Amino acid sequence: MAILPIRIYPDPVLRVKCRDVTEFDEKLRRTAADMVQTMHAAPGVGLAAPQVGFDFRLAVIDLSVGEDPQQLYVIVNPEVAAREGAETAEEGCLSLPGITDKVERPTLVTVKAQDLQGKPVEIRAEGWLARAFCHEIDHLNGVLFTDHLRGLRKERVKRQLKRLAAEQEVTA
Amino acid sequence: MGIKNWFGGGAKQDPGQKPGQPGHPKAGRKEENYTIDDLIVLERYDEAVEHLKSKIKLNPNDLHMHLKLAEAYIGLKQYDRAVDEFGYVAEEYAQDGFYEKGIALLSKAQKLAPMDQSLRFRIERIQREKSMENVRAIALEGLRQAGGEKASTSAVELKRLWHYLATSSVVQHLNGDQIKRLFSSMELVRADKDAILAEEGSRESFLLLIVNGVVEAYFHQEGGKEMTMRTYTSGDIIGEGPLLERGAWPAHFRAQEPVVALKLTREGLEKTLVGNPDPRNFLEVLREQHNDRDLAATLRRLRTA
Repeated sequence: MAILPIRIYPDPVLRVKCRDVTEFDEKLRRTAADMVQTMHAAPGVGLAAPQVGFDFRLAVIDLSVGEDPQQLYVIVNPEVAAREGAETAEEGCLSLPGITDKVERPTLVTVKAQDLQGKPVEIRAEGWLARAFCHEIDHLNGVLFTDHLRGLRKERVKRQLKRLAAEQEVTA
Repeated sequence: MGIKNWFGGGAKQDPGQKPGQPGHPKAGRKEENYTIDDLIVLERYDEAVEHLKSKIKLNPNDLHMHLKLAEAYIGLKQYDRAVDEFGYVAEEYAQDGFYEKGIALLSKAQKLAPMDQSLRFRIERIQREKSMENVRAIALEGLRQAGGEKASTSAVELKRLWHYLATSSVVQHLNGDQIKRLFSSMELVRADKDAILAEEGSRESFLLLIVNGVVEAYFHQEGGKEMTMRTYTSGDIIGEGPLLERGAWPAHFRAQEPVVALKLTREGLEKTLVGNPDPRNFLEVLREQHNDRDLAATLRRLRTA
């Protein structure tokens, strides 16, 4: 297992619309394990493949940050099949360090995905878990949480993104 | 630690992690799926302008795209173009009744072009329109009754019609009730380009208040050649002679471009006068432009010459 480098905005891979996973092999399982370790080390509650430079539909979520193995979800080719309600809460992202803002998300979602063996799974998630699923599935579609902001919040986040992009240019 | 931080919002990453660092054979490839906002953030304004222009071409009414375009032009220091975009969106907002937003955008434009006097006039005009907000609500009711619903005119379109009429002399000189009385007795008519609205010498008894478009008055010279004498546009009244003085139309009137107008017939006029508390002023406002009289006098002079 290895901790992978996390891609930071404006890395172009974060805007890639990821392709479906078709081969459920050892390589995929190894990648998933690396992503889980990377997420826990960050620490974060979710990580999508583009955040570590991959362009396929794989994401990991663990609201317990490694405390409770029951709360770990490894999802392949996930899609939000149904959504209900709406609530607003503050979000951040490992690929947008230092930036947080309030985002409206569904209160409840049904996610259809596959597990690491390719077996179809259906997950009904509520509250923070629903938020985490939406956030990570957005990543797989090249969408960042900042894309959901409007008006003054959008203007403020643009300035923050500008600073972040400038920092990345310096470190590159 | 708050859960928001668990998404990673709180922690800064190791600066040694370089963008584009390979983590996968395909991961290092150059993908260019940046959004327009990304391009603006990355100060790639030329590309942003290109994307925005093609989006606007597909949907010219997308005001958000026009605003982003203004932002990109500012980035490129093409302030005159940014002013144009702000101005366009400001007018659209004002037409839909969002006066404050319109004024705010024009004020923004003023900062970019402090010497541009037209921006000040535009702000003042929108401020005037805003101050007539109460009259507007009553007038819109009148416009709706003018056949707006029958002509499947949407609420937004009615507001736009009002935007054209708000600065007309009729609206400026009548109070809200009289405007409603007038509009609700009129009929909303639309004419295609080149449609004949009235013929010289005809005694058809109606008056037109032009809402939008251009109407030309013309006559046939000896030899049959047409000569345009005048054009009329938003807020102008034609036909007050035939309607109020029972005279003849002084010239031919034709739509130079698609025209929207409010038509007042004799029947409508009678309706406006029943129970009217100030019929004298009401009629005076309808005839004060004297367009027909002026036109007839010009025509007489031309023909005697």
